[in-house]
Amino acid sequence: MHSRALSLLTLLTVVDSVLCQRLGILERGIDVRSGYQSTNTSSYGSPEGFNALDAGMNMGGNYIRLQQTFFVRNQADSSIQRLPCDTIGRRVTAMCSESDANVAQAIQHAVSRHRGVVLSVQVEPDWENPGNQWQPEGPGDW
Amino acid sequence: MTARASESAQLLIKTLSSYSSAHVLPAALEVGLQLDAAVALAPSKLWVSMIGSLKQLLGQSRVELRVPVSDYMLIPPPSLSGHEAREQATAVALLPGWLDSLDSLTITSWSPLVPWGATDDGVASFERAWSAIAKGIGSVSSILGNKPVVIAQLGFQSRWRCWVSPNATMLPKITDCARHADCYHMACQENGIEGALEALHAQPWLKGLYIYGMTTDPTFGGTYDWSHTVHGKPAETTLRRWFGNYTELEDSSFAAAYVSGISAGNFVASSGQRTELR
Repeated sequence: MHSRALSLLTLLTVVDSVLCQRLGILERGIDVRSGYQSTNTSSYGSPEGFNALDAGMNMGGNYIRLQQTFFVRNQADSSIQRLPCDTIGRRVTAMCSESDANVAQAIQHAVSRHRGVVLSVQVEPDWENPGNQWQPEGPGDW
Repeated sequence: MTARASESAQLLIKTLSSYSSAHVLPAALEVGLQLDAAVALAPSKLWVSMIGSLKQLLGQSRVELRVPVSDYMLIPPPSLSGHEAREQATAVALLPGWLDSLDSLTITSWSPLVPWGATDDGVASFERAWSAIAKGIGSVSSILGNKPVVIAQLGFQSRWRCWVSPNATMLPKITDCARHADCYHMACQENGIEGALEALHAQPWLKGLYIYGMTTDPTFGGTYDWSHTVHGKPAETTLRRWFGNYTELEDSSFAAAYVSGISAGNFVASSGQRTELR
């Protein structure tokens, strides 16, 4: 009797697991941002970054989405370059300092332990175009 | 303008070449800007050329190219009607031809979901709103030859009225939060994710989705945080259920990290206004 109950419980657990995973056939994941907001010291390639990737995957996701450094036009000499952290104004500083090495390490970690990574790379957000900048809403917007 | 775009493309290809040599290529690559800026930035032939170069570099069998598009560019937000909706709907007719060369369309969705002043934040309300968005996305996918769609950023802030300006950045100072409920509303985020996933999960065009806003900061989140992250919030349990790893939230582990983060000066949820990640 005890064994039968256990089998039934196992069956129910399996069925429940299958039914719960309603996004099972899809690419599903977490968009992970890089960095401590207050200190700007963390990165995708750090131990904390690896833990964040793992935590996202441990929810049942199969992919992680990372965002690579922005490319912008330097207004001084019109050259295209990585977004410099000290000129980004309201933008969050953490991900602007993300190096290729950090991103590569994060990808390697995720690929080795999980399914994979989606990398979002923005090509020149055209910093001079106000319409393409991220503008905070005004007070009382919610 | 073309020269700038070309320079950007070359820099991107150079960057990805370094990944390629390290054998750590991503499974998919999103490239570009929001669609309006992308169209304005460079002519179609440059995009087609760049996409071709990237596919050649990264290998078509391993890499998908996507362009993130804000949903409000293509689909009238459910909170709009009439003239505004018609204007935005016409944007569909302006889709650039080079989208055809992409493997999938990536959409980031931050449209206001319900009209200003609405008070219903139940699951059904979010599901209705997202069903309307899903219908619009389906139309776009159909126009593009049943192009698969990935929702790259889906999320709700854990605050009151999380359906209005879902990516709001200006919030009351912490001194205004006399009560927890004045500033934080976990159920709004929880219901938002539940409703959106109910509306989305069976859509034939849906290739995948990404929940927005976790960070590499282990102390970021919890029930005294109004941001998008689900870390340490009831919505994390909701997400686990949908993602297939259903376990109740372990408050104790997060609480330890939370306390540790506060002592280390890393937790900023109580600092009043702050800049939101995006």
